[in-house]
Amino acid sequence: MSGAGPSDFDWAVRAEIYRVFADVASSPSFEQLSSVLDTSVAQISASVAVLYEAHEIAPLPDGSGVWMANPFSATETEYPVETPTMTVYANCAWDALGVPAILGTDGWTRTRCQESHVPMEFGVRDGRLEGDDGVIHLVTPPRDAWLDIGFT
Amino acid sequence: MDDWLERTGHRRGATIDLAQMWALVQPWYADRVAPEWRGRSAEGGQAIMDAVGLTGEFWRLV
Repeated sequence: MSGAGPSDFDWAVRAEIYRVFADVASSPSFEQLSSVLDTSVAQISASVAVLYEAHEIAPLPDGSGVWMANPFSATETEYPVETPTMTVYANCAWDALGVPAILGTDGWTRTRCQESHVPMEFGVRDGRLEGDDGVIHLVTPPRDAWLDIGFT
Repeated sequence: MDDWLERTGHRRGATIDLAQMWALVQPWYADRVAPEWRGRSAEGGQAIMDAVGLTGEFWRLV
């Protein structure tokens, strides 16, 4: 991590990204962010770069938009979370439970075991954890998660 | 899991059951959507890990 950290404006960019993810399960485009925050696309891109350094937002590999705002993913993943109002894509099994946690709602995930490929489902119903027995295997220690957030 | 590790070449990490993961993610993500969020220190993250019983080198943030 380098630099002075996010500015108030950078945090405002982050807040808008999370607000939209929480409302509609997808990321706002850089153009939409620039319109809402009354600035240029270049400034939004620069802010997202700062937020990446701060381990808050991951841009798409080509830098054209937002990829991840944990637990949310802007692209389809193997962890779709069905909430009462929408389908939210989570980045990993950790984040599949992170979606109901951050939204304060129920959320149910149908996925498959990454080792055996056996279908499995789990989530939160009526505020309670339910689903198949199983364990989540984390390869990357949390302290190293942002060294390669796509792999993590 | 051994077969998967051999097939993929990944190192063995740590396993956590769903109940413990649910206990972790609730404080981990509880306030992250708030506009007032200004990040969490490694010490703050470590306190959450410790509180849900995730101990050992794998879970050390600081």
